[in-house]
Amino acid sequence: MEIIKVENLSFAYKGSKTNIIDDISFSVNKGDFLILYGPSGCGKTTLLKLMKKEIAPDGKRKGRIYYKGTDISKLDDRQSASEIGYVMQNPDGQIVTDKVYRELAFGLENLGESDSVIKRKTAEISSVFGINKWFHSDTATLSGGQKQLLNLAAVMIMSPDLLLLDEPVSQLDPFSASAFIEMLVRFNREYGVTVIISEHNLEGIFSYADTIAVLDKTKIRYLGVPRTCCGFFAKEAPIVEGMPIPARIYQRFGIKAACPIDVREARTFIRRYCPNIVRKLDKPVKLNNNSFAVELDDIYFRYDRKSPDIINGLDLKVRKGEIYAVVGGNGCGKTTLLALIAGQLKPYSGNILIGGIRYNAASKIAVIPQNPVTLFTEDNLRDDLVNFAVNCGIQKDIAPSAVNDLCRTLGIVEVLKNHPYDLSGGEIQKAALAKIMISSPDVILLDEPTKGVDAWSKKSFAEILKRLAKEGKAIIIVTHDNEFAAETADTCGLLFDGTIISEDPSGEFYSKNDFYTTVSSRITKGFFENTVTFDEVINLCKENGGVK
Amino acid sequence: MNFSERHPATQFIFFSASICSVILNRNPFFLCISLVIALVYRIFQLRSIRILKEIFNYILLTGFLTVLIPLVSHNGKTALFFINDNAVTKEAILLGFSTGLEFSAVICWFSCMSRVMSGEKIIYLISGIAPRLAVFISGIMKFVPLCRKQYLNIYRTQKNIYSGYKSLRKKIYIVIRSFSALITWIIESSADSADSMYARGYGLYGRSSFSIYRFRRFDVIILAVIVYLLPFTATSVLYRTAGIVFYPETVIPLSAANILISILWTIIMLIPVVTEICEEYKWKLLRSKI
Repeated sequence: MEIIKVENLSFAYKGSKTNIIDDISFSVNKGDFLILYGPSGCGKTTLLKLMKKEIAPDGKRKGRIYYKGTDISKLDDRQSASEIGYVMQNPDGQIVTDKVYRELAFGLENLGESDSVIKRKTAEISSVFGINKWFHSDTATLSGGQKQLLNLAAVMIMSPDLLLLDEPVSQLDPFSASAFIEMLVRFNREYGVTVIISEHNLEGIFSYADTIAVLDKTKIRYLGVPRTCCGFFAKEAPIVEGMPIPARIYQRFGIKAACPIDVREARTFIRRYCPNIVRKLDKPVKLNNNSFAVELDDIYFRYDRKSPDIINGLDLKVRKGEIYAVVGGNGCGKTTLLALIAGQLKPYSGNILIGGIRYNAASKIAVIPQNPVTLFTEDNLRDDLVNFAVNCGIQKDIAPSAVNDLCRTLGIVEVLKNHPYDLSGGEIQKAALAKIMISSPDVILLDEPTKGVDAWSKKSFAEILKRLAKEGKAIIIVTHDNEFAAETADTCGLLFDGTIISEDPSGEFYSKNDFYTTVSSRITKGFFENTVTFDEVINLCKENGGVK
Repeated sequence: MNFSERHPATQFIFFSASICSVILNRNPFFLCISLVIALVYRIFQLRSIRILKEIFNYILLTGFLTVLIPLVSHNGKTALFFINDNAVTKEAILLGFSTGLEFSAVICWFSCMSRVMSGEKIIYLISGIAPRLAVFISGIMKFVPLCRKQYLNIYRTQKNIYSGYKSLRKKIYIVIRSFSALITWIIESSADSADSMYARGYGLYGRSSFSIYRFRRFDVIILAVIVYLLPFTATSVLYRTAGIVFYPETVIPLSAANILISILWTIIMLIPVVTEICEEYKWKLLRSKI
């Protein structure tokens, strides 16, 4: 039985002449798990919001949406509130109250449930979600992953039949993201909740879906099972880029077989269809004999006199023209390390040298924070950048053209007129890079630059970083994203227990690691020896004749 | 069960009643007793050396008023000595002393109350009368720490990219810009909150209100006693038996009614302290049995 049915739906925002979604039709059966996939800005959020009448955007709408046979606009308010749940992207914004238990009860209170019912349901849901330990906590003290779980719990407590989720894990680290997805899958499998989730990165969620809908340029291009999806888009770069690596490997092989959808299947697939006569990829050793741009020597840091050391005897040396990725689990002190290098925090012991001299205000270091939108204070990007350029000493009359040139090289000229808050994840990272480039820093620090960035933009961002490194800048990236680190960085260091435990050229680093490593490396472990990125896997498969 | 774990309504009424009784019944003996009880309760709450500092402050306050009032008020029958031809009277000193006691007792009860009544409990009490206001306040309580964090994020980032700025004017410029960016962020993020509220049915007719507090027998007893005592206190205030008269001659009202009411209020005020002591004793007893 279909729970939701969309018929010839078109929508254009108020004041806009072009449709953001155009003549879309599909239906979802009860108990299905559907992924709405597409690059940023393809109308996923709009489509999801249109299915929830309380928050449906204003604009010109054509076509109909039926929920259990009733037109969604005629749906009873109470039914819509309780039966259709909606979880948004931003973990902070959607929390309404100050206490966890109050947040859980909020929806049921709105429905006017009695005290005893709410008591029972909050107890039930906290037990299922494992919220018991922070039931009485302030919502502001939770981590991002906990906040997003709370948001899911606060919706699930109303026992909805249909759950709509708008990129719910794009702001989370991979560990919290997989915990969230697992919970979601559990509700789908064990409680029969229908799930429609939008995503621009399919890794980690692909294998759970019954159906995948690929939304591209206002239309649904593909609607069907995940297994055949990748073969359908043989060569279209932006769409294939966001597919999981197992499917992309399959697509490059171009053979008629079942498409692998997770690491286990991909391991079998590659062993079956590709010989491994050549086990090792010849990788040129990148020599970098430039002088050191950043030197950290035996650094110790703690936030309070009585608290434990966050950074504990850390040594780190980064050369000019080198991209260094600091990877590590949650709360291992990555962001603290960046703040120390940037001079925002002071170590209580040890030396930090920038370009050979002790850190001072004139050191040319620029930081892109985890929340890059905090870099911007004007209402549109152009004004902000021009203003900053003038402040940095560029003459007023040439500043606009200088900004234009810079943005052209970064590929964000089209969005210069936009408000910083209206940019997509990839665009805001590039805009942030544009802003800090104006002051021409020698050292660039990036905190989680791939958060909320779709695969395609990730790739072009990596290319920009490599170009900057070639110009002699030292770049330090702090990230959870092993794939990105393996592809972008020259050197990787694992931060653990307050110090860099292991440090190697990125290829070597990930092939030495067994667990904390990339998907490509996990797929080829024991078969190939040093393939850690997708391109390397494909190259070696080519050498072995598996890929033409 | 400690008094701090009782139902918020009980706690609120208890503290309001204690504070009112101090304000209405200005019998110095009663004030002394009330202050001592509040201090003992405070000792149980703080359990640290900080209490000595607080006691010192109360002594300072009482002493200050005892000296100040005779210097500005020269009424009263019994002149003790003269400063600049102005009489310093016994009555004025007594007035100062008892005002000092009263202030100290009220402040002490308030500090006990603030320790017990968290913002959470106050929101709960408000939700009984004005549910929408309670949601609003709760939303603000959630939002304030987030705003502070976001402001610091923005400010640090801005300070960092304008790191060459040293003059005060430029520093103020950074603060103003950060603040304006914060306002944009607030608008953005409240739009999300509003969506999330309406998506979960906010604004539907007949909103109920949930609490984690339970009303137990003991709460009923405390409330019943307080409610029972209220009319007596009210009449005694009405007939001025509770009010002490300082001028022209200090008369401490020691009518039977006033003494009785003072005793009863004393018993009520002792409730938290007594429960604390009983708890302590019970624990020791339990532990010794293990």
